[in-house]
Amino acid sequence: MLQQIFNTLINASIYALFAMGYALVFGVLDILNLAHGAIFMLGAFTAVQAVLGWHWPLILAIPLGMLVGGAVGVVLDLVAVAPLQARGSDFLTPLISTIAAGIVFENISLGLFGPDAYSFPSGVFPQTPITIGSAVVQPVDLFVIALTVLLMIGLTVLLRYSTLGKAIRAVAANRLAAQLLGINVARTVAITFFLASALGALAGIFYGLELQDSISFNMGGSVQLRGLAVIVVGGMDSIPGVMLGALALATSETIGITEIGSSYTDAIAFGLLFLILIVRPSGILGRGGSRAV
Amino acid sequence: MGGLGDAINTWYASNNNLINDSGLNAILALSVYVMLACGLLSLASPAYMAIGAYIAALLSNNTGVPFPAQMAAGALLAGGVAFVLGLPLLRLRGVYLAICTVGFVAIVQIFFNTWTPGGGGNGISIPAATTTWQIYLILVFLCFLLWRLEGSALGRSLSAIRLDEEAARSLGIDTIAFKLGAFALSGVLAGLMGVLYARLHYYIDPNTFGFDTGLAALTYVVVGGSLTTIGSPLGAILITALPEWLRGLNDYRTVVNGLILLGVILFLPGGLVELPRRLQSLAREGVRRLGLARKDGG
Amino acid sequence: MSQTPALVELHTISRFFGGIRALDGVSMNVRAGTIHGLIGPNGAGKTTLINLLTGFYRPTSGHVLLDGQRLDGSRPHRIARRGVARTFQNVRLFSGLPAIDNVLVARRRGTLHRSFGRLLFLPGAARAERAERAVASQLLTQLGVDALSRRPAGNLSYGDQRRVELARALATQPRLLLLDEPAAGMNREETDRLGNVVRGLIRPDRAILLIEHDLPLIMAVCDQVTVLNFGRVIAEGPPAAIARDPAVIEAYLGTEDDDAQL
Repeated sequence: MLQQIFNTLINASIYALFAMGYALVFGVLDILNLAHGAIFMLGAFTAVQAVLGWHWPLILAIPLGMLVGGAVGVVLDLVAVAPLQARGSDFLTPLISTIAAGIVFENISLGLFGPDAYSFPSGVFPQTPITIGSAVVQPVDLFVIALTVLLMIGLTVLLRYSTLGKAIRAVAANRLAAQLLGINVARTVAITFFLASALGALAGIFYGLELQDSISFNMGGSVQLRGLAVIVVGGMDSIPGVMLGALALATSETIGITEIGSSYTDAIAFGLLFLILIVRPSGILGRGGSRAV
Repeated sequence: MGGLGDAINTWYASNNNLINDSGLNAILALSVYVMLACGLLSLASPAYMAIGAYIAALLSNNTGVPFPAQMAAGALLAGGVAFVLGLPLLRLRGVYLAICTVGFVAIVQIFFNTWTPGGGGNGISIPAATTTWQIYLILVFLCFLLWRLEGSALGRSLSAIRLDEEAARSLGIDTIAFKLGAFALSGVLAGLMGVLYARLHYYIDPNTFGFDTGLAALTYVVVGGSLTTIGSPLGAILITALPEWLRGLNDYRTVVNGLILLGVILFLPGGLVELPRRLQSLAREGVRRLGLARKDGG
Repeated sequence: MSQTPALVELHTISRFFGGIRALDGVSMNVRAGTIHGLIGPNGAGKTTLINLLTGFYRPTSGHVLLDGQRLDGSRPHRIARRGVARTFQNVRLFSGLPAIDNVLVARRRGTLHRSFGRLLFLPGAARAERAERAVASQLLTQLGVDALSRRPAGNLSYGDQRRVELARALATQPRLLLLDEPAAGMNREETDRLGNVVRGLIRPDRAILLIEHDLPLIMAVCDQVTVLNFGRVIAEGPPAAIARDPAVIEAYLGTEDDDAQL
């Protein structure tokens, strides 16, 4: 039981980090970045390439992965998103744009790394099992959970107290007003993309650390959909909402796996998604979702 | 004359699959188009396609129901499912609705993966029946219908809903009814395509009916042109045939797809149908500039 | 004072948004064949009232009657079909469509017949379509913008867009026409011309509710004026009486409304 709680927490951490990326971008732009799954993948690949190919220690590979992920996010903004914002498009066009970008990223990865699945080498994290009550965990598991919690706290502090955080919240609340207040909206959005993508990349690295043979060009696929489930369930634009959504999803998956079997984890994510949206279109904690009238 | 006939026959023989798939993809693209026409992004078409395909499989393998009746059955059932799906989904805002359609596809795919009468994950074989003529006859007929509707009062109403739903409602347009109609029509089109697909490829399995297929269909519509009927088949045929033309780039097919999509979205939002007009105005602009330059230069 | 029965009756309408009382016990009668003005400082509740009349909000309490039948609680498109049309404060045309199509969209008669008849190339359907097109064209002519019929609505000047939007609203043959600040952004001369146009829209079976900040326009065209402030009716009567009403003067001068030109 305790073991399952830990498993749930690990999954929830990855989902939360990933979904946070969606939430941040959606907050400032009202669009869903569907290239996020590809960035998740690029973060993992960068880290594993650093460790396997260049023999970097993990402690350096992780920030590198986050940096590269963040940079790709900024490029995505500059090339595929910001130009459309200037043009004043509907919600559909930027969405398709990010989908297209995601496809391009995935295929660049396919070209560079081929279709194979990669793993971090086994020595990269100390492998001494730690016993907590009836559960046995690895140091990497605790690392994932702890770092995620720290980052969530850090993000909350950043958004609430720092100048950048206030700028982000201003742009999220009312883009025009923020501009009138002298905030450089374009730069704030780009920084938001950086943050969001760095978190997504970290989620990818964690995913690669936790699961053997999981790093491949299309690893973003199922996580992408789960991330959507998380923000829909938790609400598109609140940090506690994302955490709650991630926990809810991870919990239902754990329960579902034990009850129904692991081939249905996708169905669980979507079943939950459907149910929540139909019963409460604004998500559990957030706003937006239903139409006015 | 015999030479031309032979040439056509050879071309057809060696490009058979491509021609058929292009036609089928065109119909699937239309299914996405009718949703976009009233402002809804739906990636649910693969699910409707699956329903049509499995209906065809079951009816072919277990009953003597003739092919045309199978088409009707698949189309109507898929249309009904789409309508029912639309009922709760229309309460949701654009992005959320799109997400739910993706979820619906996943759920339907999982369902067919475990549904033993349909062969589950192993798929199921079906006697072949679809011919290229049938595909293209149906495609042309559908294009004609949709094109006529596009220029009609109903088509205008749909455009109005897409452009400003609240204003449309203030004019007495029952937007919910229209959108439900679009859902149903989308289901009918994709369901019909599913029947044709199943009896062309004589084997189906749930893998075909996933997110990627829906995404591809969206690409056809956006690239070809999402504002008129003709854009969808144009985009479908072009993109399906593209790997053939760029045979050397076959490995990069998906990247090319992605790049094309990106390029169109960024530079030609109306799709390829807009290209002639865009080129024309660019040319006019160019001539104008040249004309001015010459005058200044003296 | 006309004795025709009220076309639209508002009975103690209240609309609360959480703690905010956007409308508080508003009662009002609008008579057919008249132009009824609705004025008040910003935030007084005017737009809420229009949104309520068109069905985008339900009243928190009270009810609305149109021709003696309940209007509130119906869905917006049903209310529109009963003959309530509006123009928007920030013009909401279908910018991708030509001007004439904007007006045509509002012609809902025989839509199904015209559309499906077009599929079958039925001559009757084509005739009906041409007839509706003629009506739309005539409305554009009436408002002086028929030369722009084929232009995409988004390419028109602001003033022309307003005229097309008005034609579109008229195309529904409304019993109640709601004009939401039609003179916004217009200079004196344009406003006067607008006043003539609005006066020309009076019909014995039609009521016009004019929301405006431009008080000279209100004074010039309205038969009755209702004044709102903080969601309440603070005065009602003919324009001349309103101009002298101390409560009205205080409401405007008290909030230092630049537009007050009594």
